[in-house]
Amino acid sequence: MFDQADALLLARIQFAFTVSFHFIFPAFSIGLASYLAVLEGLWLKTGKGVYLDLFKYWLKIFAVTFAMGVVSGIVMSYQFGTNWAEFSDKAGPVIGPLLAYEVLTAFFLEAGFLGVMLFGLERVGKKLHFLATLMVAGGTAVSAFWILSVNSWMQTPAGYEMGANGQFLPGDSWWAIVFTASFPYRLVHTVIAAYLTTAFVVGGVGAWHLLKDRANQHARTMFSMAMWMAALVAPVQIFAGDLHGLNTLKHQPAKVMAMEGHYESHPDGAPFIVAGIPNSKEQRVDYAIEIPKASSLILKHDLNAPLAGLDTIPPENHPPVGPVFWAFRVMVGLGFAMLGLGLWSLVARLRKRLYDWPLLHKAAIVMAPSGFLAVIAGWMVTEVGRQPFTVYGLLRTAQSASPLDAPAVGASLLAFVLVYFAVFGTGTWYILRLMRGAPKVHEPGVRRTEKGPIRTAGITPGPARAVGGPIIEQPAKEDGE
Amino acid sequence: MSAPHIEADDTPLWRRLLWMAALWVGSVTVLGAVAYGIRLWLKG
Repeated sequence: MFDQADALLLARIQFAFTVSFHFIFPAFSIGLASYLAVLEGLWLKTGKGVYLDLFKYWLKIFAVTFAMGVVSGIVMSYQFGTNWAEFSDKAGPVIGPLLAYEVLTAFFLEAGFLGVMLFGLERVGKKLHFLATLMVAGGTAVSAFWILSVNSWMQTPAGYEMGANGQFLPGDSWWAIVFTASFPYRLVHTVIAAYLTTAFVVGGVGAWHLLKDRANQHARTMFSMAMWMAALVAPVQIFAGDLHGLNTLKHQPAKVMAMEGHYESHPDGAPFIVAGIPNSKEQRVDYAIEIPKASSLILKHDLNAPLAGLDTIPPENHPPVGPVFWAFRVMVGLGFAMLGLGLWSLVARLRKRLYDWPLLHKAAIVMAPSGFLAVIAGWMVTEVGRQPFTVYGLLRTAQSASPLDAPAVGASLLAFVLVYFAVFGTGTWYILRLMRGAPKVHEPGVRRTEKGPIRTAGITPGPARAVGGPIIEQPAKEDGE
Repeated sequence: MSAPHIEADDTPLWRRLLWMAALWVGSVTVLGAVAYGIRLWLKG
């Protein structure tokens, strides 16, 4: 079946397939973990039951998302060994420790404390439980730090020495390896993207339940919180993305040339191509719709600044232009759509129609998956734009693959496609089913040991009284928490 | 508004810490088992 196929291409398709599936889950869980920490913190601070109900509602969704993220992430780690053994051999001494830190964080901070989050509220008490929630939220951020450090080193390698056997070896300072030139920009841009992804999912779910019942207090609270995030963070993300783009122009100019569709150099100001069909055979963009000199304005802040094109780069070092060009436009378009929804919500808030504007709620539902599409498009820009290298400018993708025959890679790819669609398809269906149900007062999720509602806001625990019976003395506190 | 009170807050600290440790170890063990299972699948 795969006899005539190219093993390298199949390995790349397999990595693209598994990483695209994987990226969906941490993009959601990084933001959701922080959202849960905010909800629990607000519950502890204000005592309002609505925050605890929302915490329990989203905790169930977080658990499923996190499980799928971890399982698909483990596959990614193993794939370095199965399909990319040459890359692992050559780059392992540098990126291996960073990946190990990521795995340790995922195991001991995120996964470890997730159990306490899920089953611990009525066993460890509210303060220790909040500590566990903070550990999970912090763990997702630390995980993102390490994995993006690895990726950034592959984009802008630094701090290494070349070994006699062609291996990249650590140089004098690990700081140079961890904090490469593109890392701060990539970290900020990606983590904000994860927060926005979560905000739009939460906003979409809130909007869905508002359309069914606009008096639903839980839906109002989550929709309002999500729209604040959209209005305040989307502009920050656009600014961060611009800085990231300028950094990429400096360190990976070929990637930006592909993003812009600039096959030719423009000595007197380069146009921004809004849309068109990249034609790499003829080295031009067909049917281009251009804004004259706008690309120079964006990238150099000068209408007449010269911009080099792919004609200055050897053809064997060109990235594939079409996928990078279109993925960039999808990402940017969705970013501005997010900003638009955020601004619309501000107008609705000013007019006191935030919970009473069905068109806004329908738009929020349509935009609910926008974060996932944007992060996958952004990931395509950065990864396909790095081609034809795995370690930019130093190690080619063709030199990185394991010496496997096409049928072997093809068979495992087929197995991954079948298993991933079955396992993660079921998980995603279950998450959607959880979202379809509205959050309720006294949302289930944490086992209660007493009958009746959990005592929350502003209720100082007084002497318990059995129904029709005498007052029962409260036990004295024995700890100093 | 004052901080809410739940029944577990009245449990001794050492007992709550033991529960925390047990839940933490259980979670890490489950993930370790899943990772090992995937490793066996990929090696198979």
